[in-house]
Amino acid sequence: MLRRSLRLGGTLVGILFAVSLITFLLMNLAPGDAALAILGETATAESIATLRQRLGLDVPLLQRYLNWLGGVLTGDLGESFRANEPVLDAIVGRFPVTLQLLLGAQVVALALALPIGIYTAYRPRSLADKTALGVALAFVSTPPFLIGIILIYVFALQLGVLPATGYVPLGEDLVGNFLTMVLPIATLGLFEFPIYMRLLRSDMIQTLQQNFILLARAIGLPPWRILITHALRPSSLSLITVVGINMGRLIGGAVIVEVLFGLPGVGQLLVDGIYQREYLVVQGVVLFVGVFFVLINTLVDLLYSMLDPRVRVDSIRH
Amino acid sequence: MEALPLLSVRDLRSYLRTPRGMVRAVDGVSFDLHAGETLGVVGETGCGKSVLARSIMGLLPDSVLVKESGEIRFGEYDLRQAGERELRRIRGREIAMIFQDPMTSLNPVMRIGAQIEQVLRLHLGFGARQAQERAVELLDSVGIASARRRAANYPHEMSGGMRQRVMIAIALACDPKLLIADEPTTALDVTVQAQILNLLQEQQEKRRMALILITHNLGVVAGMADKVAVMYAGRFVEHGVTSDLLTEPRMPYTAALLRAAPRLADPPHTKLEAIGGRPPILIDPPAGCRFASRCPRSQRDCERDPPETFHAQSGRRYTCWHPIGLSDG
Amino acid sequence: MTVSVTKPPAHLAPIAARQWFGPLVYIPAAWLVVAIAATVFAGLLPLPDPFKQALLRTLQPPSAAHWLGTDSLGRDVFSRSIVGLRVSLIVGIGSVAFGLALGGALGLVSGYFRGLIDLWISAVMTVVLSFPPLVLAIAIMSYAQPSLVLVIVVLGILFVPAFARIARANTLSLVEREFVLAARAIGMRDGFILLREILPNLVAPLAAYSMLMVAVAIIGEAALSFLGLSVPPPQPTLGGMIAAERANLLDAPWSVFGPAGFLFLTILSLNIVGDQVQRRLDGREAAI
Repeated sequence: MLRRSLRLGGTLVGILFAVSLITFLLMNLAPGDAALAILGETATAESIATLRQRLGLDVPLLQRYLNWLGGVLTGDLGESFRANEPVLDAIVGRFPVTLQLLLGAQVVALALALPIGIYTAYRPRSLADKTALGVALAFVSTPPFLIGIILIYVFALQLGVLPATGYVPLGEDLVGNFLTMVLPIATLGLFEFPIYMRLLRSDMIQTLQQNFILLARAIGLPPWRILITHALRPSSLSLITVVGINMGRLIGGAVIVEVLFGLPGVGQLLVDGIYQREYLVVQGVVLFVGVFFVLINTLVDLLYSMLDPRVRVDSIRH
Repeated sequence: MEALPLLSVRDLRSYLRTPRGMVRAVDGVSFDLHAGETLGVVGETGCGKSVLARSIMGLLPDSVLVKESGEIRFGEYDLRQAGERELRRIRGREIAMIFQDPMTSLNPVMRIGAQIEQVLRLHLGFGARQAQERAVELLDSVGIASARRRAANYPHEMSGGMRQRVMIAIALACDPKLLIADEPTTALDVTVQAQILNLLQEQQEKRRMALILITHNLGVVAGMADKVAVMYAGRFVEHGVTSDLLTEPRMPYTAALLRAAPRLADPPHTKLEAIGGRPPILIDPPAGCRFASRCPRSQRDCERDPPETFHAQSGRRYTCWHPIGLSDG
Repeated sequence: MTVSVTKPPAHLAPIAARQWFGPLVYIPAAWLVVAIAATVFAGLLPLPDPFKQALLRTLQPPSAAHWLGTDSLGRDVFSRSIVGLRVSLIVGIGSVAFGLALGGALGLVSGYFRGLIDLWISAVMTVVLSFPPLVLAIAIMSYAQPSLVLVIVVLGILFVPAFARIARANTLSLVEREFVLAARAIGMRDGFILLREILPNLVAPLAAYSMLMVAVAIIGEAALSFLGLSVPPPQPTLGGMIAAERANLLDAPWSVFGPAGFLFLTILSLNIVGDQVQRRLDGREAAI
């Protein structure tokens, strides 16, 4: 058990290290001069040189990486030169917004996917099933920003019940927060739910054909009990894995949604950083997001091995 | 003279929808079963025995069942007319079933104790603690050592024989009047087979339970069944007291089955007498006797006219125009 | 390797036959054909100039002259949408082709030679997969000079791990099969075996998946162009058009829903047709 934990930890560190390396290389191997790009072509050679020095661009690549990495490990991701704000503070300050968006979307997606997925697996090829699959197909074929725009059109512009943009922090005003977050969370959730629904449906259809389901019927269990207690658990294992892996897609979607709805989250920070050529900010956000994603995946792996007793037993034997 | 039968099946037919067409899996089965009696149902793979078992329990899903007709009376219930809710009350409580492969028939992510408890709590209204205790008792009574510890195991932590015992424990939990055992020993090692069969017999005697034992192995029914029904192509082609039927089969198919079984007394390299050909596909069955094309005794009228069922005084029934021992040719 | 099947007699005809694609597939397939043709031959069609601004006729509703109306600069929405769709299709197909070629090759090599090569390639794939896909694309596009080729390459890189995994898994199972052992036994060289024996068997599983990935790639390009990180203006992109006209959503919905409609219909058609192809080739019950 200890050996396995060590091995897992080692792999994790390795991946995180690689993530930092890739992030750094991406940002710093660009052709062209960053300082020149920031200041524009009218800048004097002197001001360019000063900026380069300030951004740490006058140092060889490897040393730059090590400096940066050292900073990262001590919590210093550099500073945004425009706002004079430490990058890490900016990220951490905005992370709760993104987190609320991500978690909210997952909840919405699962809340839709679970009952619909279970029911359609129970009654495949019924009218309800065909309708659900059609709806799922429609949502999967619509990019998230388009879903958002349609929702804005209907609820904000035509019906006027929800705001199109803006954000009210959770701590400030619960209702305000709810109103401003409903459409963004719904957008992301609607984009994700078809994937979960189809996966759950196909897993459950397979599970329902198993012999132990026949036994459950043979002992007289009512259908809902069979679906939830017997069929759901083995079918949900791959769903859980996908929910975890999907966080990656979700983060990308969150960036779009934040820009669309004007939410001050990490995604907005990233895009703003790009427009304003704040490379340290972009680098920091990419690293942060990468690390977050890796940690989530590791957590999902652990969760999976805890839930499936077959896997658990094998690992103990090793 | 005889008491009223516990289970009475009349002209049961179950037609199933398959990708290749409608299969007449059970095509006119009739029999009676009394309390405490054991009926062995013997037949090749695909003769419809499993579908028969599921039909009695009403377990064939609507999406597959195209047509069902006939009568199934169980005690005061009419199983074919009963609503789903009523059937659920009967299943597991009055009629129980055990299946062929215990590995896939038990829920892999649920502890076996819990699987027994759920039946007790559902049908008998046991509380959690009560159900737990009773589950351990049941495991013990089916011959599982260290029952209390074992109750916390998962199915994959047990051997095939033990898993089958667990299935029997689940089936017997509510003291059913009838147990249907669909090939209970086919997936088990030979040594374990005998143990399981003994267990079944022992439980049956103790509880005065009726038993339908479905198998393709004649040896299994020889030691256990009061009566045997030989099933072929969706029908019972012969039905009678075990000892009589096995020593004096009337229907040629029965005789062929007996001949095909290897015997210990045979010298080495004895060629087994296989039955040539294959059972008919029941999508469009032949007009006459369904065994005619493979039967050594078949004649013109066999292929033309479907044979009637003849009843002998001893209670034996057979469906054949030219049964062995009674007509020549 | 093919087994000929004789048709069963009529009275045994199956109740539920699914010989070819259902009728469902013809409409989306038709849309795809028409869309591709329109984008390829856009210049030849009698449509208004997509770049021509008409500042006196901004935000006009759909009419005979402008089938989908005009946008905030008076440009014809319909013809701009077609040109934008061209970008989407080129990026979609190009990036998948790139990912397929590179990923397929890597997976093939990985599965065939195994050992250290496999380990390294798998490690690289793992690292690429460690990033949320869109974030990686955004990051790369953010500082480099945006161009059509770059978008294709960046999105293509995101597809490489998936294709590599499929190719590798299929290669691993194919390698165990007898015809490869037989080829080795008669002295065929590895490269030859890869090309002639293994590659043709990978086509089927990869082809179906590819179609569905084109839909994903188009969504990805739309997201990038929405953020302004795809092919730069004045080239119209569907995502870019939507982003640019977003402010006029209430007054001139056609300027947004025109390109949106093209986008949606194309992605939907790809998903439907791709799924049908996958079912046909796979035989198993697909997720849909």
